[in-house]
Parts: sequence; C-alpha cells; structure tokens
Amino acid sequence: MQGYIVRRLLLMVPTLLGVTLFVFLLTRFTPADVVDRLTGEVGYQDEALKAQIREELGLNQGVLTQYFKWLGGVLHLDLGESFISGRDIWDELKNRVPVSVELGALAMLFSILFGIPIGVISAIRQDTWLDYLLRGGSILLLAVPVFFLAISVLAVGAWWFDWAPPSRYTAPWEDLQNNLAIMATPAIILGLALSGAKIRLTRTQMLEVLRQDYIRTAWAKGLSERVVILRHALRNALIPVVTVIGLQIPVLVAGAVILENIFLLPGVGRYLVQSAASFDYPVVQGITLLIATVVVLSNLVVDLSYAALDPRVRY
Amino acid sequence: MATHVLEEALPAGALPFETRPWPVRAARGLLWFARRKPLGFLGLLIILTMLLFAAAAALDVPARYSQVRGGNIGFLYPYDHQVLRDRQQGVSLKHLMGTDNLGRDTFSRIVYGAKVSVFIGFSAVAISQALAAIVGTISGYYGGRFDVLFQRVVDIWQALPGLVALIFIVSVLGNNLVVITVAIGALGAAGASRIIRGAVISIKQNAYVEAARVVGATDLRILLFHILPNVFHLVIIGASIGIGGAILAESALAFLGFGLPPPYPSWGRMLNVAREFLTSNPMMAIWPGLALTVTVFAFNVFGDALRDVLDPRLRGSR
Amino acid sequence: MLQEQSYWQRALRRRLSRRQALRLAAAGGITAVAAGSALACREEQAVEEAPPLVGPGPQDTTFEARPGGTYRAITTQDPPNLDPYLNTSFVSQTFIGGTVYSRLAKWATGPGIEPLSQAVGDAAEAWETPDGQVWTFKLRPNMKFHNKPPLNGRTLDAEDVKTSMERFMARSPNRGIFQTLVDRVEAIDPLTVRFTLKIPYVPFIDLMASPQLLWIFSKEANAGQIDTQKPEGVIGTGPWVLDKAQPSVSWEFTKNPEWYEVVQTRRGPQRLPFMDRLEFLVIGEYAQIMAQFLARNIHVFAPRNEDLAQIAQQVPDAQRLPGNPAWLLSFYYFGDTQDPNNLFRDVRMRRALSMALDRDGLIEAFGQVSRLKQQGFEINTGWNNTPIPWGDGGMFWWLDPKSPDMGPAGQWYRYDPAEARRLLQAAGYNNQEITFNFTTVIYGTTFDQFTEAQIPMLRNAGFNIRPNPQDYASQYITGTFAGRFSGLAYGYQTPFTSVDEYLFNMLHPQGTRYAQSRPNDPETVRLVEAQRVERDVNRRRELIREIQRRVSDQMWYVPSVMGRWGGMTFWHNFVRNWGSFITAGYGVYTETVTRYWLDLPETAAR
Repeated sequence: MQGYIVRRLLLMVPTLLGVTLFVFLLTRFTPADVVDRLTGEVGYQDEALKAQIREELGLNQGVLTQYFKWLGGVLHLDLGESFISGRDIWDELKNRVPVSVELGALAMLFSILFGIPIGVISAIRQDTWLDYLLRGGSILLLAVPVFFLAISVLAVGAWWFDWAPPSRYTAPWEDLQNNLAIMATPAIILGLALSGAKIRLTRTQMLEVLRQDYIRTAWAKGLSERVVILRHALRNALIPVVTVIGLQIPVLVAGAVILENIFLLPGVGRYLVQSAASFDYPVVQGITLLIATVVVLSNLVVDLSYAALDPRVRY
Repeated sequence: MATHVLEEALPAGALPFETRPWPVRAARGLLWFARRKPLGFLGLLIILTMLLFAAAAALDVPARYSQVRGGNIGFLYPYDHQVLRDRQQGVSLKHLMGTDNLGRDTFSRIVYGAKVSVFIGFSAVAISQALAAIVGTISGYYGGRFDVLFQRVVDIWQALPGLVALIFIVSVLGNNLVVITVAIGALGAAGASRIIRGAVISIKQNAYVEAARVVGATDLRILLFHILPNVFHLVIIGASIGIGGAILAESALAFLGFGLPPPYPSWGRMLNVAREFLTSNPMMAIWPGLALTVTVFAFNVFGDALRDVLDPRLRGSR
Repeated sequence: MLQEQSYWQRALRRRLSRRQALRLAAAGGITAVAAGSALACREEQAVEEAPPLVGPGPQDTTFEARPGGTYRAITTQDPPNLDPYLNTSFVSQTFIGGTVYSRLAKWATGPGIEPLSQAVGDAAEAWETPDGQVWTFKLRPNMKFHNKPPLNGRTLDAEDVKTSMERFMARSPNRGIFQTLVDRVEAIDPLTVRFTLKIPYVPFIDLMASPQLLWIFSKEANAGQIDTQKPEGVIGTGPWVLDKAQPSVSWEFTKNPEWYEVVQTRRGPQRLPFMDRLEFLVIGEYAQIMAQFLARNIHVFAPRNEDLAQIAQQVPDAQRLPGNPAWLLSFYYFGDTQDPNNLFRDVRMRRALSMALDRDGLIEAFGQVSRLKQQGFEINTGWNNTPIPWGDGGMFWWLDPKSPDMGPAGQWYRYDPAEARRLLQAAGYNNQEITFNFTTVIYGTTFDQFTEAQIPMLRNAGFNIRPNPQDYASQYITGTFAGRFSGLAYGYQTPFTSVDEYLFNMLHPQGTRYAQSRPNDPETVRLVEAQRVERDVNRRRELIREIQRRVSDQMWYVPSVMGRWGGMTFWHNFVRNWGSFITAGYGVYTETVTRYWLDLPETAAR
C-alpha cells in the first residue's frame, strides 16, 4: 500500500511538469502579445516602450530560460508576479484558495446530501411515477447550464422576491453568517449540477446491490427495510459513487469559475477569468498548475478510498 | 461486432430484418426503439429537429426564400434581419419567441444558433472520439513501453482542467470556430481514450484475435478488422453523450466572453448578451437557455438509451 | 459667507427653472422666455422665504453639510494595476489615480459650471505662461502626502513633480502627447516647477488637468523606493487614502484629513471631503449591481436606460440626475485612402457610408430615448462630428452635425440608403466584397452589439461587406488600428483628453493616428496647425468648427454614434450635493465626490 502511494506520488511529477510545459509553450507561441494588450490604443506605436516592458516582464529571454526560471520559482512556492497588477501571485492565491475550496466543499456536501438519498429513493421505488420523475429530473440537472440557472435565480430573486445575495464576501472566521449567506446560493446551484450524476449512479448501484444474495439473506432474516437499505445495501452501493465524487472535481472547478463571477466570490475562478482575458500568463500558469495538482491528487484519493471502502480491492 | 450486438438485442419476432426493404426495416427499428426507450426516442426527435434547424441555417433558407419570392416566410428571418423599431417584442405569430434588443427575431436566431451548436458539438466530438480511438486502441493493443508513454501523456491531458484549459487556450489562440472546436474536441479525448484502451486490452485476450495472429494477419489488419469493430459501440456511446458536453462547453465559453465573435448568433452568446437585459426582458435569456437545456437533455437521454441498447454488459438492464 | 451661499442657491435655482421652463414650453407651446422669467420670479421668492434648503434634490447644500459616513459605490472590475502610470485602464485611473493622487490642475465643478470647462489648481496653486511655450507652476504650500510610511505626511515639493514627469515620460503608455510637446521640466525652487515645451501650446493646462496623465507621485516612489503597485505603496496627496484593498471584494478609502480644500458650513469652516469613507464593491454582473442598489447596499447606480422606469418605481425616493456620456469617438476609417486601389479613395464611397448609418435609429434603439420621454425621463443625445465627438469634455468644441452651421457638409449625415446606393453607383462600385474589420469583447457587449447592428445598415445601402472580427491584441490594435488593413474598419478612437489631440493626430501627416485614413487636404493641415497657436479661445473654436465642416464634407473618417446617448444616475435619498458639482471622466472622486455628504442619522449625531 505504501509503496503504491509513493509510486503514484512520483508519477505526479512528470504529469504536472507536462502540464506546466504545455501551458508555458502555449503562452509563449501565441499570436497575441501581452505587451500589445498593455499599451492598448494609446501606446501601440511606442516600440521603445514595448521593448522596455518586454524586458521588465522577462519576455525578451529565451523561452526555455523563462520556463526554467519559472519552474525554479515554483519549487520555492514562488509563482512569480502578475504581468498586469505587478503583485505576487502566491499572495493573491493565498486569499482566494479558501474561498473556492469552501464553495467546492459546500457544493459537494449539498450534492451528496441531496443526490444520494434521491438516488436511493428512486431505486427503492423503481418504476413508479416517483422514480420516473426523479430520473427525468436528474437528467435535466445534467443538462441545465450552470450559468443559466445562476442568472435565472438572480433575476427571479430580484424581481419577484426583492431578494439579493449579500454584496460583500467575508471569510467564515470574520462573519460566519454573512459568509454562509453569500455562499449558499452558488453552492446550492453548483450542488444541484453535481447531483445529477450522483442520483443516477446511486440508483443503478442500489438496484444492482439489491439483487445480490446477501441482501436477499438480510430480507429473509426479517430485518427492517431501514436496516437492509441503509446498513447492508447503501454501503456497498456507494463505492462507485465515491469515484464519481473524485471524477467530478473538474466539473466543480468549471462551475466555480462561472459562479464566482456571478455571485461576487473572490475565488480562484474569478481570478482566472480576469487573468485569461488580459493575457496575464504567470497567473494562468500558476492557477493551472494549482488546479492540475488538485485534479491529480483527487484521482489518487479516489483510488485509495476505493481500497479503504471495498475489502476486495488491494494495492 | 457492432451489428451482431444490435441484432442480439432485438426481440426474436423482429427477425429476420434483412429480408425486408430498408425503409421498412428502419421504421420498424425506430418503432421498436420508441417502445423500448421512450425517453431516448424523445431525445432522438429533439435531435432531429435541431438538425433540421441547423440545415435550414446552413442553407440560409430565409434569405434564399426572400430572394426567390421577394418576401419573408413569415416567421423565419435571416439572422441579421433587424427592425430597430420592433425591439423587445413579446411572443406573436410573427415572432414565435419575440424579438431581442435590436428587433431581431429570437426564434430565427435560435435556428441559426443551432448550426453553431451542431457544428461544434458534432465536430468536436468527432475529433475527440477519433483521437480517443487512435490513442486507446494503439495503447491498449501494443501495451508495453508504448502504453506507458501514451498513458503518461493521457495523464497530463486529463490533468488539464476542462473549462479552465479551454478558456486559456481560446484566449491565447483566438476565439474562432476552428480553435474552439479543436480545443473542446482535444480536451474531451483523454477520458474517452482510457475507456477504449480498457476495452481493447480485454478484447485482445479473445481467442479470435489470437487465431487471426496465428493465421498471419498483420497488426494493422487485426486492429482494423477485429479490434476496432468491437470497440466501435463505445465510440458511438461516447460521442452521443459527449455532444451535449461539447455544446455546453461552447456556451459556457461564450457566456464568459470567450466565445465566437458576432455577428453570427450562438446560443451562448445570446445568453451572454441577455445578461444585461435580465431585468428589462428576461425572455431574451430564457429562450436560448431553454434551447441549450433541451438540446443537451436530448443528447443525454439519447446517449443513455443508445448505451443501453449497444453495450452488451448493460443489455436487459434499464 | 451666508449671503454668498444664497446667491449660489439662487443661481442654481434659476438654472433649474430654465430647464423646467423649456420642458413646459415644449409641452404647452408657450415661449420659453416668458415662461422662464415667470417661473424664475416665483422660485426666487420661494428661496427668500423658505428655510435653508436641505432635502432630496440637486441643490448645492454645502452650507448645511454634516461630515461623516461611508459612501458606497461599485467598480465593475479590480484596478488592473495600482500605479496609474503603468496601466491605461479607466479603472486604475478613476479608482486609484482619481482618489489617491493629485494632478497639477483639476476641473472646476460647481453650480453653473460646464463640466470639464475650467481648469483650477490642484497641487498647483497658480500658473503662468508668457507665450504658451514656457509654463511656470506655483505649488500649493503645505500640501502633504498621506500619513503612511515611509513618507509619513511629508510636504510635497517641486522635485516630486519633476521626477513624476520624468517617470511618466519613461514608462507610461500615455506618454505620446508629452513626448511630442515637452522639452524639459525643472524644479526652480521647492514650490516652483517650470515646463518648457518644444512649441507654443496653449491648451497645455488642459493636459495638466487631465485625469489620465500626470498624477503626482513622491520622488521616493519615482526612484523605485516605494512599490507603487502594492496597496501599502499607494501614497499620494489626493483627498482619499487607500485603507483596505481586497481584490474582487472591495476597495476602501478613508478621507485624507489634511486635504487642502476648505468650505464654509453652518458649523464653521470644514475641510473636504465631508464623508469619512469611500468604498467600492467589485461587482461585474449587471443584475447584481441593480439588486445591490435596490437592497441599498450601494448608494449610487447608473442603470441601463431600459431599467430607468423600473428603478424609479421600485425606489420612488431615489434622486436622479441625467448625465452625458464621456467624450469618445466611434468611427469608420479606411486605411490608405491615397492608394489608387482603395475603393474608399473616392469621396462618394465615404459619403455613401455615412448616409447608410441610421444614427437616430441606433441611438433610439440603444438609448431608449423616446420611450423614456413618454415615461418622463429627459435623455440627452448627440451625433459625433468628425473628428470631434459629442460628449462631456468636448461640448465646447463640437459642432452639431444637425445644425445649420454645418453648411452643405451637413447633408452627408442624412440617413438615406437610397441616395447611398446612388452614390455607390456613381463611384463605379460594382458589388466587390469589402472586408469589414472590427474587434470584439474588449470594448464590452454593448459595443459589440452596436457594431452588429450597423452591419445590416451597410448591407442595406449596397455595401457588400464581409464581417471580419479580429483579435484585439494580435490583429486589431497592431494591424488595423495602425492603418494596415484593406477594406473598412470600425472602432473607438483613443479616448483623447484634448481637442488638439483629435485634430492633430487624425488629420496632420505627423499625427500618430494619421495612417488610419491618410486624409489628403493641405487646407485642413493648415487649419490644424493654426488652431494650435491661436490664443483667443473663440477664434480657436471657429477654426476648429471650420475643420469639422471640411472633414465632414470629405468624410475621411465617418463618425458613428456608439454611446452617444445620455443616461440617468440614481442616488439614494440621503446623498446630498451630487447635483451641483458635476464633472465627467476619471477625476470624479476628487472633483465632486469630495463635496458629497450624507444626510443620515449617523452624521447628525456628531
């Protein structure tokens, strides 16, 4: 087991290196030049200034030199400075990561608390109208674009219920009530989007498990429905659901990118969108590396939790 | 093989199909599909409607019609047909979904927008499934060092977080149709290639593959005639589910401002514009939002049904 | 002082009543003069009798002002950079430059003063120029930097100004105008700075008052000892002190207790700003901004015109003020019109393009003008002339294309697609495909929509155009905007701050935007050179009007009307003084918000 973990962790290194190299090369061989963007309509003809800015940003060096310099910094947890704001990227991310993590965690929590029970109900009441309704609903949840849901909630809230989400984000340790109030709406929307897949998977897995012999035995022993479903069936049905939780991390990230923009959360996703739009390469590089690390780690955690949950799996 | 799988799944009374003319066969097959998978059939109908929209847009039917007849069809207009006076109108016979802030017919723009969604959806998925099939079969079939190398590349590929990578690629390489389509397609290939690789590895163990090799078939021949046909259903299933995802990805890009530039309408951009009119005319957002939802819904349920029918392991389950 | 106060109030009342009278006259058909005088008399009486004015409305209530409170507004995005020299974005200029830093001069505001028409002292107390070439500025004594380390409230001196100018010239993308004009800067003594120009340039003071150019930093900052890009390094002499920087959440300022401006109030002399704090919430989503105004989390809101009636209905006690758009030119340009292969070398092609544009239709569709009129909202609109746009900051120089003053050139502004087709035919145009270059995203969705809306108009007038949306950085700004393209291009001109920049840059062969169309007319060039040295403002204006007539006749640049509709700004009912101190552009937080005060219980308690 330990050997396995070490091997997997070592494998992360080339993967992440590959990601950073890909992103880096893309930024350096793009037709669009961040310097043209910085000088804009006013200074587009000022070649001297452009050369000077290029030098300040280190863009006049060779691409590989730039890459290794950046990589060297990353090893010391130094992601460099933003091209646009000139501020330290790591400092900025330090404030933003907790926001996105909180949003992601709340959304995931909601989707688990919402999706799994519905999946179970749908399985127990297989082929009733309730089952059809819940299944149709879950496919719909997969189909509704998160941003459409979000702006609809805003519009409906503002016009018919005189409701607006809080205007200013505060960290949970500053003002928990306000924090939860501003987090609630995006977390629920994102949670809904995530629960579609969970409902469906829980349902199929439950159906599968309910047909197994040991469940029949449990019924035969005269155990109550509650005990059979919760203690015997659900535990085993949930193993693949855990995988889905891990595989949904990229969905979570994408949703956060959109929802942070709409619901005024100062998270990583909002930083990414504004940086990508202004060609702030070091920031985009840093964020991509960060998210790629999270994705890779979550895959590892999924595999490990598989082993923990299913006695048949051993590494 | 794919065809066998399909036949085996059919009820015994429906056979033999081959003796009847093909339109009858097709109609019967559809009828069977409709009875067996009503939701999937609904999805199919929606998809066909959408293809019809896209075709109408591709042929620019409204504009041609008005050139031939010297007038408009009545409810379908060229996408840039704007009457500034008639802006923000409600639903009417003349404007099935009302008009937008420039007095353009929303229904017509949805029809034209279907072309973008269909194009991006189908071509992105074609790219991703083709890539996935190539990478998956080669990696699974040859194994060894090849496989290790390919899998490390796929690792990298999968670690690139979807929308984030997409935003980045498009902002760097430009927001044109080719970049957006290829980027969505390429990013979707990694996951699919893993599934195909797994299938190839298990097929490789089969006796007939071994037999073919003994007879002296080349690798290429084995790949093309024995392996590929057997993973083809996976490609089809992956594609039918992937199209919805690709359409969503394009619209999310457009919504964030990284989508296709005007003047050609796309649903995502219509939604993005409608954001500023949410308070004065929410219908501007509702229609493209609904179009997106319904279309993605259709591809999802159709894909589900197709998987149930095509995937031997799932046969009999619902 | 009391008397002076009521004089201002009366003057303002008169101004208002004139506006009301015009409205009445329009409605009832009576002559404006008669109604105006009658109304003015009645109102003057009211002012004499009534107790001092405090209450909702646009009045100057400085005398009643109470200090304290927090003013909340929004910014749609974070300042890209905290050093306004390093980024040309209006967000950096407005929310950091215009709050924290001073200029040598600023725009005067007050009852009866046209926005951006009079430069008054900011860091400089006075200035003089014998010939328009040598400019001597006397700095305000005892002007102090914010009390933050390492400056700790030290006094501003001439060396700060000189080094600021030097750093600006070395590093700001905005430096072009100074590079062509300024020869050298000297610190004569601690309170005297002298600028020597390369040529006599009468409007130089306008450049010093421009809130996009010479913000004054400390010499320590200019020497790189202070990191001006970090929140703790944002130290200036302006009215607001950066207190809390929370990217994507809020940017918060406290008032500078040492700022120089002092006004008389009922409680005696009072230093500006009145309000203790200024907070900007970062909200990009329009529906959110609106929701936050309705929930009273922000105090000021400029809605889209589509929503005006709704807002007025939902917040009936909100105060509102019509405002004009900023001075900005959206225009068509043609590349090298001296190239024989350029279709637009023929003046008839360019005139046809101008006549293809339904300017009023566009303004109506985007500005909702007539619908708003029915709902009781007066919205100002105007057509851009070429190359002088309509908008706050340029009203004095702008010649109305609809006015009889335009002479025969005015006819080319008429919307007449049939005539445009005839002109195209006469020019020998036989439906060749014309590439229509523009850029998207960067200027916002309204701009993109506006571009989109013009395409059918061009087609309708017979132009066979192929829309070619370009990437901003790699294609548009480096290629098209620099004049390297074929076909037709549309976009915004650089937001110049002075009329001369429009004229010289676009029309003079040495101008930096000349390549956009390469107009070929020696007489225009002569007029452009003449207005640069004309010291009499009215004669200069006449020269500039003549240029507009000439260029309009030739349509080297065809002006469009993007954004040329006014809007309405709403304040919640406890904000005071917003109506009589009007400015436009990036200097608003120095020039007017310093005079706002809040009529709230929390300020009354003090």
